[in-house]
Amino acid sequence: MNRKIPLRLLAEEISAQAGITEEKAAELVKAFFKLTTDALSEGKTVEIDNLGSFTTTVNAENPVLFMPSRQLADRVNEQFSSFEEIVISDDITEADLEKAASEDPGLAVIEEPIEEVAVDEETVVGQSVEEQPAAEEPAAEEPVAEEPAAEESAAEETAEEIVAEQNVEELPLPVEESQKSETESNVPTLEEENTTEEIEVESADSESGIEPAVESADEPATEPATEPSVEPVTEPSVELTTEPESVEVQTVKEYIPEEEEVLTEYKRPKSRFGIGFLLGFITGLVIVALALAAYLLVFDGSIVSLVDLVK
Amino acid sequence: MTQEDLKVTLPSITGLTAEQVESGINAMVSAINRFCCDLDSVAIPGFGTFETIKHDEMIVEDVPTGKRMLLPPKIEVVFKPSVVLRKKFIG
Repeated sequence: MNRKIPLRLLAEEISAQAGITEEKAAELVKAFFKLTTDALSEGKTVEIDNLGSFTTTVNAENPVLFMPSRQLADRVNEQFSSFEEIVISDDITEADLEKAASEDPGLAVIEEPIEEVAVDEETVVGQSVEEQPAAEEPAAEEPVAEEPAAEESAAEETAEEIVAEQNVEELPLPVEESQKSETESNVPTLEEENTTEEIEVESADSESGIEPAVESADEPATEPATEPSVEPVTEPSVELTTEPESVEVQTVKEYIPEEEEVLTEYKRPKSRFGIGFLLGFITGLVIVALALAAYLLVFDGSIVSLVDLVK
Repeated sequence: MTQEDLKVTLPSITGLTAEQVESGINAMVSAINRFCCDLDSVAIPGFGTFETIKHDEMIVEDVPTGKRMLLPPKIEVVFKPSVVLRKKFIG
């Protein structure tokens, strides 16, 4: 894998297969491609079976263009022969693809479009509800469990639940919220633990005769209770569904320091041009002074005359 | 120029028989194929290098229709001419 095969190793392979010496095999390879080069320099196209064709171009960077043969291309891509081109549905946004890629960087990008292209939205929602972990479902039921606690009878409960579901359906909720509403209706077995306790409490209340007090306290609360009943269903479900995303964000954050380590700034060394210029200037002055002194020493008479003039 | 033309010329240059030249060329082509399948690169002195480039799966968009396609991964065999060959053609 990713080795660079020299001529010696290629000659060994040829000698083992063709039954000729390695020297002759190396000589054959050199002569073969020498003739190919000569033919290309004459402007000819060279075609080699099971390898490809060589043609000359005017491109200075790559004057020889190689087109691999169909056999070579098929043989090299044999491991990917089971894959096919897939048309991605318009319903799938890039955010969905990025989310799928973050969940499973190896396979999700390929698998997600296949499922969602082939199946309608409703069935996709049903599949995703079934695939959701069981830990999410009881959390979605908690707010629902609060509703019947404030209600009187089972008839009113069902009527209000229908109203609440209608409100849920009328609201432009995202797909996850509608999934949660479907989980309530489709998966009643998980609600049994909570609802059985609540039914017992309700029956105890009805038997003890607290009904009028409950009615007076709850009648004004039941109508608005449908609206808050929508909100608690949605809010915890969103929080729970985002939990695996937050875990993935943490894994992504681990890569950030690696990039920062690579992107270290290069600090340029301070220029010493000023110091060099000063030293050069002083050296020049010293040389000029020495030259002037030597000039004056050569002509002794002039020095004496200058001294005499000073005196 | 085809492989048959080379087979005619090569025995006189290499001193091998026509059968040896033919089997040698077939062995060379199959060896290059095998090395390329292993994602290795084969260097021919004075001629160039056969290299493989692996492209991961990608999403491409057809601009006129707006359709998006998920293309499978692909391995491409490319040839990079050597400096000697490049200078010979550039001049």
